Amino acid sequence: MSHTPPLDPKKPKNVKVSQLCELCHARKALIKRPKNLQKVCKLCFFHVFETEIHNTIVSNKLFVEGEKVAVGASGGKDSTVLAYLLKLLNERHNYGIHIVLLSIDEGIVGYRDDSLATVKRNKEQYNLPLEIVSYRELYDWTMDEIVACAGVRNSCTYCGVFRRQALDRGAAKLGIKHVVTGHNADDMAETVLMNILRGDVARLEKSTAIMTQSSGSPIKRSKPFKYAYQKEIVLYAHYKKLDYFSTECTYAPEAFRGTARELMKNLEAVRPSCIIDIIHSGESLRLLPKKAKRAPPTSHVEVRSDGSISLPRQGFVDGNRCERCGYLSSNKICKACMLLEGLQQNRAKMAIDSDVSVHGAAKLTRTLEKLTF
Amino acid sequence: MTEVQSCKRCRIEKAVVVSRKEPFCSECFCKFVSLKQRKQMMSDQYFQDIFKVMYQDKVKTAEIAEKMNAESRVLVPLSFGSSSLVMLNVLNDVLEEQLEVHRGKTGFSIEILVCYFGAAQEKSLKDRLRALMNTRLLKTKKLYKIHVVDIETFFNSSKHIQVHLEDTSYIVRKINTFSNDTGSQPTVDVLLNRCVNRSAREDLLNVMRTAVIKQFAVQGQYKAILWGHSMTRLADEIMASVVKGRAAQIASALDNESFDVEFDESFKNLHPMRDVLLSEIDAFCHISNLLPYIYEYYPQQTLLIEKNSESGHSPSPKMVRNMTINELARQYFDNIEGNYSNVISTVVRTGAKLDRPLNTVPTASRCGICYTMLYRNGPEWLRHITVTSSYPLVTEEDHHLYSTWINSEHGKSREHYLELASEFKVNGKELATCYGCLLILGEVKDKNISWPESKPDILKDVIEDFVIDDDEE
Amino acid sequence: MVSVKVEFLGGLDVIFGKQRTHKLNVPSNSGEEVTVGTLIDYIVEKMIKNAGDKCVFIENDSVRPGILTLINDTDWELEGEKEYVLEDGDIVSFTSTLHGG
Repeated sequence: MSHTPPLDPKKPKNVKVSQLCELCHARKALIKRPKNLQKVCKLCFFHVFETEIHNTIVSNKLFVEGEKVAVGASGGKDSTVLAYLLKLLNERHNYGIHIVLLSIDEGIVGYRDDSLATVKRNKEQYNLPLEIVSYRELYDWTMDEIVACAGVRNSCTYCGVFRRQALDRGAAKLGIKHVVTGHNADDMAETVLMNILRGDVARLEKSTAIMTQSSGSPIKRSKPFKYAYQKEIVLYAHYKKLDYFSTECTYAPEAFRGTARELMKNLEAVRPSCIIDIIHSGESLRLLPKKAKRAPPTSHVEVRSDGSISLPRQGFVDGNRCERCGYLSSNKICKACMLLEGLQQNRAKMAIDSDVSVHGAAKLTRTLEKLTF
Repeated sequence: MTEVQSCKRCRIEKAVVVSRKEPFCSECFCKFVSLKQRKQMMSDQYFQDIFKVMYQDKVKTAEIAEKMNAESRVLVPLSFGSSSLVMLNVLNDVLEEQLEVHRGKTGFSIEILVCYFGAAQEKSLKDRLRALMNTRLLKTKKLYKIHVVDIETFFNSSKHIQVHLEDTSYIVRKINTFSNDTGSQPTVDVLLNRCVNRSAREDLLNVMRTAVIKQFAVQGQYKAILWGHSMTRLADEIMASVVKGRAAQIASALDNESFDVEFDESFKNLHPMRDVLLSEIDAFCHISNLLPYIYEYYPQQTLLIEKNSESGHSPSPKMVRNMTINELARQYFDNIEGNYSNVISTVVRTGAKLDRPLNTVPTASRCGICYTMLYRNGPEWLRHITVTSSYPLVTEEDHHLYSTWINSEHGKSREHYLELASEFKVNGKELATCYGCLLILGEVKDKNISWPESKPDILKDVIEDFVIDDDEE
Repeated sequence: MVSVKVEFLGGLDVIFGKQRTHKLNVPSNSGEEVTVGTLIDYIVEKMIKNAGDKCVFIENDSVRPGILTLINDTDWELEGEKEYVLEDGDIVSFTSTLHGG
């Protein structure tokens, strides 16, 4: 599959004064910024969008000169725009960083194959080195196999945990200490709402951090698109004719996240600035000092009948290492290893229960789930 | 065919309500709601001292005990929604019980405050107030003091200011205006009509109503304000606060332990219904015949086993774009209640775990609009993440269009706005506002409002106690 | 009758036989002007083969929130949305912004 850029419309004729950009007052406005409802032209849009990302990078001191930076590249719009922009800004403002594309192959047939092809084209288009790390080589499980075993409803949980680790491990393998990801303002606002709706107190304060690093971990992570609207990222990719891959992950998001997403869309229709307003709120969330806790944490992992597992809630203790894999973990055993243990138990069970091959079941679930946006 | 269930508490009566998966008869259900409210009223020493009947003991003399009983005055703002009515209903039960058990003594006294907006609302609320006092509260009528306040008293202030938001820098500035200029007294009605959407209107009205009620409590030296908010309503408020960039204010809004720091630290706020769902309060209204007193709301019947055939005037579904942020939050909770019924309590529990944010502004200050504590500099935050400079003009055509614009109406109206802005810049002073109020100002015509310079003087216009005539019937 | 080009981007092509660009001749309803509203009705009625896919594109009679609609590269919000009167040669693009990044 190759890249077909979007069509070029004819040049506008007879521009009316009322249609002019509210910043330069000299070119036809093409978009209305959700952040402040300003109508701006293409050139002013490029200017403000790029400058805002640059300002975010500088004011948060995201980069150090000479640093090697891995862009978590999925082939999707966010990471594609991120890779393009970082290269552009690095050259324009002399950050002096070395950018590498880092991709994770989760092993989702039909979804990841195509997106990886996109990343491979990006590698050529932007002339950036590319490294691919697979779930198979890291965990001995592909995502298709995991879904077949644990059910499609939990796919986001597994993928979230595994992908996070995979990026860190991939970066470590390349000797890179900084991973940047394309998480945008919409993602972040959704996470803030989700954490409150789910009462996820442990994540509440950290959810809007632009840079995170576990103490003792060599890898830091940052999100230069923290304040960038999804809509503007898509528009930027569109106008710049960037080559990105877009299909819904074959495994649709969990139902509860879906309800939060729906709420966000409705809120945006009423007040488009709400996305940064929610981030502003997220930055001021602070917990009351903890009262003394009882009940020792359990290390027991419960595998429920539907294949989901319970993760024991424990306080965050940074800097420990997982007893099994040696990866940094706040708990005795890291989340990935706990999930893997759950999977192993279930795989054994499945082998006895039925004779359906793992791959076949995955395919079946995928067919059933297809086209859920 | 429906199976007849019996109440799981008394195991005798027929169940009429199913709440939290449990069938209740009407008596046990009302008791269940009532106990939840009473538990909050006894949540700490301060409130126990208010609500309990005090007697002489080792530490206090009989006089001191009497004085404590007499000084335990609480203010109950009554909106005639389902929650405040149920709360008052339970409070009245407590009073009646105390009268009986303590031979004519009560531990506290209730003063009702009704704050109205506009003549039509004034009449409806006063009618309901009369009806309520002459029926439900007839026995205890003499124990209540009632106050009716016009929301326009919000502008009872010595000085008024013009407040203006500059749209490129997000800086808010004020200019003094004097209220003695005849005819220039700002009104709530005029102000609300300047709002470009319902969210801004609702938020401003809410700021004004809250200020009137709290300032009334300060000036009337009450021990506490009892708010009728249900758990559902608190969940709405928490979510809406997050969405409006006001999360910093959640901790104060839910705080029932400290004195109200934003209003002179003279009273405490209590939300006695914080453990009760709105659907439960609404079921209570149906069971105990509170419907005739309710203003502009029809209580849900979701928990009733047998629904009334006449479902009232269920409001027609609104277009999303016309809804307020609070309404969207409420709609979300209504829609998911079936599948994730514990979300509402999770949100309220999470909100209660929040602390006030760390202060990043150099001096302790308050928002000039809503009086809440300021923790961060909103305009500065917005300037950091928003670029409003333009890309240079490039082509001949760009220059041509620019000069056309400059000479057009559009160019001139922008010039007018900039002149207004520069007048504020020269003659005005910066007014610190919270992030949420910046958003409100952005949704008002010309980004410009009149506002009292200081908190309103509610008692200045002698507010006479509202006297309820005896019902002739 | 107006002849326009329509693009389905950001993964939306899935419900249009995986074809991104379509050249269309949109007929007018009883001689009225052909608006973007007419075009949307035409797309829903004539081009979405699988009825179950309609909700991917449309919600409450308009383009679903989360789909970005551009008329000649201009956000349709600035062109009067469904009221915009189409001219020959116009390009209308629909881009889904919903999927992961």
